Amino acid sequence: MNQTLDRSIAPQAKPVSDPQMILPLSVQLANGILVHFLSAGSQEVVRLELLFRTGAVSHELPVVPGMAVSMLKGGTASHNATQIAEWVDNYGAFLETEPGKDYSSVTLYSLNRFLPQVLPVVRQIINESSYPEDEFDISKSNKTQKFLVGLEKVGFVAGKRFQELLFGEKGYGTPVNTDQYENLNRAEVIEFYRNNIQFQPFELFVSGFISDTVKQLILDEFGRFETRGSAVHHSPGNAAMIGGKHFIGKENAMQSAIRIGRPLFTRNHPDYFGMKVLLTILGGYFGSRLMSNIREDKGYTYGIGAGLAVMKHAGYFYISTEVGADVCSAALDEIYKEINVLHHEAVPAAELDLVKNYMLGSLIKSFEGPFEYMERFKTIHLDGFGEDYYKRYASTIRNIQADELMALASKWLRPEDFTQLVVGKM
Amino acid sequence: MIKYEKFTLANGLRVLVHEDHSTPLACINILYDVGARDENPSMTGFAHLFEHLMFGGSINIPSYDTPLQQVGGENNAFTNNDITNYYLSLPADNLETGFWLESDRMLSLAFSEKSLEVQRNVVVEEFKQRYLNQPYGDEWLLLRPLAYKKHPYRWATIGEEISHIENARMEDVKAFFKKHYHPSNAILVVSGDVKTDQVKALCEKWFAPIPAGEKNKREIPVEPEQTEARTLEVFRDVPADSLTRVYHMCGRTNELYHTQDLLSDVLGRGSSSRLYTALVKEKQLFSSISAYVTGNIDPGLLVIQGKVNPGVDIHQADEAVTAVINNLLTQGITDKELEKVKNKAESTLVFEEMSILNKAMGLAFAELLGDSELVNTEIGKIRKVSAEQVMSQAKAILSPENCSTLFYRKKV
Repeated sequence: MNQTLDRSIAPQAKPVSDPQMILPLSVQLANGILVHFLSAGSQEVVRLELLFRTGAVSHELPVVPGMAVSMLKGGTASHNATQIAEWVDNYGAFLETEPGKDYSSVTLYSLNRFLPQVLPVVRQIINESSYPEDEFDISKSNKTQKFLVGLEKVGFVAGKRFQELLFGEKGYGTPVNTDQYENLNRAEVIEFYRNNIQFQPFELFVSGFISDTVKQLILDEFGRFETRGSAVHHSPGNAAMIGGKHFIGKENAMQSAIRIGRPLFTRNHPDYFGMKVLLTILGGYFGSRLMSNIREDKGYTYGIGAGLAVMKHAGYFYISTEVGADVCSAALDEIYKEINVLHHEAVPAAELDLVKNYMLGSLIKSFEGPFEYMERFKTIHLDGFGEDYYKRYASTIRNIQADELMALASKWLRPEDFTQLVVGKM
Repeated sequence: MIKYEKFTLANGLRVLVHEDHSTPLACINILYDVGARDENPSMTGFAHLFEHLMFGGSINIPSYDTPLQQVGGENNAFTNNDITNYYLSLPADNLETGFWLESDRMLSLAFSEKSLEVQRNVVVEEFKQRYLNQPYGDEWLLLRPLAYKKHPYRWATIGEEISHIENARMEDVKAFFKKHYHPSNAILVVSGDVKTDQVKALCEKWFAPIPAGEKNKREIPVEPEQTEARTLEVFRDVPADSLTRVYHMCGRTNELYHTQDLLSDVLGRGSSSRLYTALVKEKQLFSSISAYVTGNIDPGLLVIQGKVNPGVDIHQADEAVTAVINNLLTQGITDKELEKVKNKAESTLVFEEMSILNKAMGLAFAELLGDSELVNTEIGKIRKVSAEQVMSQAKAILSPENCSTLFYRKKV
């Protein structure tokens, strides 16, 4: 009964469905800590993320908040850094500190069966950190070293300078340099800790396989936290973009890093969803205009992308790549060519259809498992969006038309509004 | 416990199916039993270049990526010294599209000159971006030939040198495909919101008609035992000295593998490990240091790697590493220490099993090693390792004669 198989015909495809949101159970504790529980999956693990509304924008020297957060594992009154590491490692747990721009987090990953033994370490490091001097010196030295290594990479230098240009060397674009690391002052870091982290109420996002026992354990433990919340939440105080074309030379560079972009908007802007679609077409997936041209056709790069980066108070459009130094000018020409095409030619129906399906597929892929569900919730919760946010996003993806995309390109992707940076060789 | 079904097609393709209905997605993972170790010494970097070419269109389908994106899927691949692994994920409703795409490129590639030309350039850019244009980027290009004199692990997956990639010709590409890319040299794993019967039917339709091909007979030279310490010192434009020691160890399927892996964890996994505590915290000779194993199928390496603090002499730092090792050899390890690294190993595996893609990859690799049940028995094997066994392996492999050291130094 063998029908000859025609391999040139694609199998019938079904449309991609909308993601299904799972909302956590939220509990406000008497001490001001807000806990969210999201249980899913079958692996008996849990992730606890403590989110503080403090970060790089909360101090005129971004390195200070960075140090204050990363050194939360550096030692308390009763445990030095090694003992804290030992405590966590003994139970196969992972403790991460993540300093951010607007928010900073401390995250614990643990097998459920060891949670009772390992959970108490969190309260110690949040409320009893002591920033021991020897640890401080080591940490400072390491950060300086890491920074120096970074300065040797065209990509690192470009990313850093690009932020400075976008936000006028203020706010999100406050410059960081080696001096700031070398001059990190322990007293200043401790003061920051005391004002912004210690005894501050925070939000706690708990995801994983959450039995009643685990839930009660967490409520009891975090109910015991002492809080005296008084932290002031800061807005960044950005300045105007520094436009024009910028170049930072690097001797012997084999590749040049290119960054092009402009400040744009955050998620609540009416053009946000539409721009996500436009920028996916331009450079948001492997078959994008930029990838097809500059990597797959010309072979100038290993990777090029475009997108929209969003923080709490501002967002920006970017194009980012590292290209062979000898083809840098050619790559720049091609980038501007592709942007120009978006202004004048409607995206063909087949391509638009493909991008829509790709984006919808990507969207449901980002809802796999309890940790991902919680990340999706965080996004809408922290910006105050309703639970229909992702459905609205999917709807824009499905319904946006080529002429709307062209209008968005003409409005928001005008080269005269960009800043351009090249690091390496031109 | 990862539950799965297993069967083999007449043409030799091994298939495993893991159902997980907690997600609307499905993953297809195809592992080809070919890696950098299978390359001709004068044509290195080929397995990896070939991985790129697999995306340049197959005999009946001009574009691989486009039809997949069209149904909401995405994909990627990687190559290492042992394997080449392709994976995609997509809405489970569109599983058949994945079967159509993967089977066609197993059947035959389009082999276009343009594709070869472009991917040669892309790989050359990758070589530059990751290995030449980064500080410390060429460390492993130096370490491999230092540790391995005969075995093909002596060259890196990216290639021994750029010229090998630049000189790749279409006829070599076609010969490579014929030799390695056929059903009996592949393992297919499907995971996610799928049914075994459904997968069986799709395999019969799309993969069964592909001719079997000849299983490649591997004849890889065995690396002779290293009998004396080796060192290499180079100077580069980097902000700090880097010290790397590599010791020969057993292969992935050897019964000693987990013991040696746990040994590397005791030495240098995480900030409560021996090396980190002694040399970063106490003596402050290094800004960072860690130990790990390469996990290769043929005998691999146990690696100790660290960045030396400014103002510290690298040879002094190297002696301090020796002191930590000697300490371990004389003191032994505590049960608590061993328990700790076992807990970490278990924890890592448990977290990995949250992803249908990771489960698919794990099943494919386990099947390649000859025992798909490893995905479920590995934790048990790890738990069985005793402190005596770890110490015995420490004595066996952490000897100077078994060690190759790279002093990668900042130009003054």
